[in-house]
Amino acid sequence: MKKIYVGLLVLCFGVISLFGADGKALANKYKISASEKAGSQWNRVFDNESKMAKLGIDKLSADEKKALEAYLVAHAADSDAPAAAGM
Amino acid sequence: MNKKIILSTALVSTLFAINLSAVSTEDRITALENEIKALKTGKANSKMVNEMDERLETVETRTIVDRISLGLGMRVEMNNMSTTYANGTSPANEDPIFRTKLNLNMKSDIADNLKFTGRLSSYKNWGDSNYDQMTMANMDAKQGRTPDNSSALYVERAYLDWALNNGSDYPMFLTIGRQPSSDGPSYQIKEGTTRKGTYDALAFDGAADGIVFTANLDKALPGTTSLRFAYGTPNNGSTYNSTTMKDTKVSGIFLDKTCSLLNADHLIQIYAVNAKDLMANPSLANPTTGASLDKNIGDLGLYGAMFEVQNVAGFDFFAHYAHSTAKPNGNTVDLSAMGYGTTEGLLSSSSTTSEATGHAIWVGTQYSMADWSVGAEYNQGSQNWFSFTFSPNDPINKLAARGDAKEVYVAKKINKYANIRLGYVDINYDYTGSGSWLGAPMDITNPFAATQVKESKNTYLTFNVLF
Repeated sequence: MKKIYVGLLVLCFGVISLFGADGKALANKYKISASEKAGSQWNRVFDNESKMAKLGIDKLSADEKKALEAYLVAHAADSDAPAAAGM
Repeated sequence: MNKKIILSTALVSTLFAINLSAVSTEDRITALENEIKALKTGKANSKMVNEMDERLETVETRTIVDRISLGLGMRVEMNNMSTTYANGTSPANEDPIFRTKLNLNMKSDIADNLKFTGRLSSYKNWGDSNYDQMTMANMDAKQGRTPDNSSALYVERAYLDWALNNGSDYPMFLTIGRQPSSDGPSYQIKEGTTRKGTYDALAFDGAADGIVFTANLDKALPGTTSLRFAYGTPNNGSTYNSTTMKDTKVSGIFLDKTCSLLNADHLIQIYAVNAKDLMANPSLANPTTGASLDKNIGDLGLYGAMFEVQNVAGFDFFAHYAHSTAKPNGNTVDLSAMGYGTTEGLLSSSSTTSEATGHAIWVGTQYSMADWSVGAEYNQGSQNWFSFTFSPNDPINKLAARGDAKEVYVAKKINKYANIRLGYVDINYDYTGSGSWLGAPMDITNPFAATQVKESKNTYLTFNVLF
């Protein structure tokens, strides 16, 4: 039973590693720090093509933009920021 | 005739020139007026810019000087508990317990490669002014985490995140100080917040000092992957830096992965931890001599894995499994002087060095719709299950139960920053001593366990603010 559990866990980890992509990874890629702006300011960035172009994120797909915006708003200067070591 | 024509032409030309000259002067005057106006406007603009510059500088100065930003966390709770002992009796009186927890959250971006995070906490029972030694609120891991009779502010968290190689593809951090080791996943699902701690809440929940090395492997794997090595000295005994006992040392390795998949947020954590030289920490000293009864009683290993997924069509799910291995060193504490008539060691009642293994599971789900959410959780622990959940937010430490616990709740968001939650917890203990590492857990049906708690129920109401 324990082996099955560990196997399933490793499988989940692998599957997520293969297909996963999240806002944090995009923020790191484009060197954007979420804490530079408040949540409403990040919302304004994603409503404005020229502001997105300035950050180099205007060519991202709709899903990527959605994930990045969600991450930046969630980690914005005025957000309920997650807490963990090295985060 | 020609003369006349010439004179007339000259006259007309002169008049025309004079007229032209007059128009030109008028235009020039107008142009000059416009220029003056523009200059005046420019001057006004320039004045306005200067004023704004001064104001911005004032704001900038305040921003630079405001080095720590403060946030507020507050929870007011009512716990209506009901206890049943193994012999079928109950306490004569169990009044509802009201408590207030205040968190002053601090953060500061000191430099690009250095951040500070802190939390000062006060957690107090309403109207409680009597010293209660059995709460052991003076125990390090409990400061600011366990309610007591004082409204003192404790340092629950205070740590520096130092980026060792800022800008690198593989960023590495050292987290130094009083760690974010409480309120870890998946506790945040019920609370309706973001993740608030590093470690699986089934295994760890309490304040702890230490140092954590984090290597961020995002470049190598999609999503966010962190590999952590932790070391700390979470003194669980009565004496720190004793001349007769070794301090408890904890070291561990944690693999942590978060990502978004099909618009849902996933978190997986796998870990292995070794706690060396646990102290017995009996709550009382020898009543005759006053001498400490404390001793090092052995080591503990904790291994586990957890998985959680959030925002799947309004649903959140989580599942945790942990395994504990207690390795007593043969030392026992003689509690006969305290009237218990027993000797107790690490999950044992004799000078044994045999390992005692335990395990626990914790699963839960929550469904959210608009401002409402409903959730259910279940956890089960075996006879020798033991973890470091010294200081949970629930008053009966359900995740430490050697038995099973069920919880249901409904929560409503009041606004972006506040919610109210009504819940019910029912714990059935199969063995004694849940949450304690001292003494051998007995089957609750054992006649010697007649006065031990068999069942705990708690109907609670909490009001939470996080701003």
